[in-house]
Amino acid sequence: MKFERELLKGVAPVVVLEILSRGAMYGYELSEALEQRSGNILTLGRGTLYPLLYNLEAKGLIQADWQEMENGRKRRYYSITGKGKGKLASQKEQWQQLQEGVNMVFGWSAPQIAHA
Amino acid sequence: MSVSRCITRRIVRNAAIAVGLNLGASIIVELIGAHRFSVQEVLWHLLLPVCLFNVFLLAMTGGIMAAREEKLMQRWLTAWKNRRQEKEPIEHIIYHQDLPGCVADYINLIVKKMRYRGKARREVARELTGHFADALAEGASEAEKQRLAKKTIDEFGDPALLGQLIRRGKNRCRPAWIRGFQAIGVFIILFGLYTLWFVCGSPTIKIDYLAVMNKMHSQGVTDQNNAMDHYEKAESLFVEPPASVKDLIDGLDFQNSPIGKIDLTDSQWALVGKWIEQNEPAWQEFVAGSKKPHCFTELQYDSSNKEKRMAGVTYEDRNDIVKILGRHFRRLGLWRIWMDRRRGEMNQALQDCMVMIQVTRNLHNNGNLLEHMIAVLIGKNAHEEILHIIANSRLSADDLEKYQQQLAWMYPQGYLQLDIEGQRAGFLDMVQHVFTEGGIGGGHLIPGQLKFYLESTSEAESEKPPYYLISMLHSRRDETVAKGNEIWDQVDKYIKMSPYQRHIHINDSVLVNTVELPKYKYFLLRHPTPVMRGRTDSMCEAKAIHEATITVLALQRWRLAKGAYPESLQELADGGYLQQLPDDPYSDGILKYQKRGDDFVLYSLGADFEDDQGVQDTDDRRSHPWHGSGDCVFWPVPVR
Repeated sequence: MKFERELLKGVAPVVVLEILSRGAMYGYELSEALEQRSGNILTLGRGTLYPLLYNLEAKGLIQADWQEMENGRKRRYYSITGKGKGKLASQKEQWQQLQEGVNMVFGWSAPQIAHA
Repeated sequence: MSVSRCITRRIVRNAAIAVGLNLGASIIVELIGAHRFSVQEVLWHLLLPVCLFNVFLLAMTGGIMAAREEKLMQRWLTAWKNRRQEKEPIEHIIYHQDLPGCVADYINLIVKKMRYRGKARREVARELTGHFADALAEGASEAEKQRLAKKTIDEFGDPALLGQLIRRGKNRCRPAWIRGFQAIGVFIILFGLYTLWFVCGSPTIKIDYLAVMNKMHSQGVTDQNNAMDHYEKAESLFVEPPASVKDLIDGLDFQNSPIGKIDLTDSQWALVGKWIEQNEPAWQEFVAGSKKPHCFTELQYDSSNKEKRMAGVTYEDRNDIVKILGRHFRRLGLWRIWMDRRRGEMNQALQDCMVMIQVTRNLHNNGNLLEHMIAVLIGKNAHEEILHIIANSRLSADDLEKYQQQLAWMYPQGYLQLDIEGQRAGFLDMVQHVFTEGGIGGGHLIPGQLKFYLESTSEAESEKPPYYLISMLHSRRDETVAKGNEIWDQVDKYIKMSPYQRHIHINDSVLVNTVELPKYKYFLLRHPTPVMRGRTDSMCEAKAIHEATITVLALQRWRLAKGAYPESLQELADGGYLQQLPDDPYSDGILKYQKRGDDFVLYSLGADFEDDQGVQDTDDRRSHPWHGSGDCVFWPVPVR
């Protein structure tokens, strides 16, 4: 299913941070992990991936290091920073609240009635 | 930790150990009882070289041991390898990865579209080649790899857009110090361009202010009523005093009317008389000129003044004539008067005084401050001589009336006023020569043009601010002209006030304001604005002495007619002996008059604005007759 670009635009940073929070990855590995873990629902265009990673790196949410492989080739591994972890936590909370609100509007869940 | 830092730590640690050990050893030796030498000698001659040698040994040992450790060496080799790789060409990175040609070309295109610094492009090239290598690793055959390559390329999308997005991201990753340097670089480039634009401006000269001034001052001037020809001829006929009397003639300070006796021997008087006779033709030309209402010379730019600046007009011809009138003929006139008095020819002396006063009229009609001041000086000397003549001779009532009438009608349009229009025109001419025209604020100050005007100022070289700084900070053309006109309007108003009016109303605030203007913002307005206070005071004082002289003549007429002096000046006016009461520039009224027995005193309050009852500070009379601590007394005159 192809999602609206604007919808993916908001979700891409948070899912990238979430995946990196589980371990450092290089670009190709990250894009495969995203498809795999989202059940092929979320597909981040390759043209979007690297600019997104550089933007997150510029914001200090992730950091990158070159690591040399056994075959002599180098890969740039991305890992989440402490700042990124904090950002991820707040974004996840917002997404949860957003999801609850949307679900209630769509009638997929009953509204929570506050008891006095 | 870097290799170099690690080695340094080892060396420092070992050096510290060595110093400690050696110091400890020396202390022990001393304690044991090596008392044959002083502690200082032991330390200096024996222990210090040993210490230094041990320090060197241990430090080197530590450094070598550190360098031998495999980990550090390996780190050094790795750092060296990394530095080499950082300079690896991008094409080598892309095209030596065993990727299909279309992929390599695609990556190369993305990297080119980035348009960024080399290190970042190398990183992106390595990262993208790695991504494609991983993506194509799944393909078993070449065809499969080609299909996967095409698919991945499609997934990446437009290379130009991708290059732009990557560039944007990398831009944001720049370390702060790079951003700072880039910002500084941009600032320097912009500042350089701004400076270039600033410096390369050129002025637009639209108005020939010199022609305007010439036209203004030549109104009504004809060859027949222009005194200049007579003065030029008089100068050509002038005979310098011979060496034997030159020092004598120049020796007295005529600047402020000599108050001492002119004590010459008969032979000296004879020499002076001969010199006066030799200058009779010159004097007659001078007299002819004095009868003309105008003294006009058309000012011109000389050949070296290519930019046609008013400030570059040297006024040589004119100033020479003026200086000659002020020096040669003023002295000649005074010596003629003194000679006439010595011979008892008072009427001739008074006529010579009138000639000198007449000259002041046509020196005033041109807006040149120097000429105004010369006129003031000539007039002041002449009036003082008239007062001396009146005091020391018995003139008939008819003579008194004749001379009083001549003086009263000397300035039919009122006593002369300073005219600053020449200075204002000079300022506007300077503006059009140093500012560009148009643009923000009407134009900016051009550094190269400013140099000419700054070089002509009296400030020391070390005190002159840099031209470029002034140009950058100076107000724009429109604002400068508006401010300049405001100041000139204030000055024009100022010069029309008497010293007393200025004293009670504005207290020299006009001049204070020009000095207190922001130094660089209104730099041009701080210099050409003349210091007017002294000049305007001189004009007021000259007017006062003129009116005082007329008043004294009227008083003498009254005495001859009535047998005694009047009780007040108002009686003179009421009796028709005086048309206008004399104003005191240093008070809000007229000159002070007191009848004292058979005589009277006529005085001004002077610069202290206080009535000292006609008592003058005689010590100050010579240098500052108006500015001493007492009054300025016109009558009685000092005995000569």
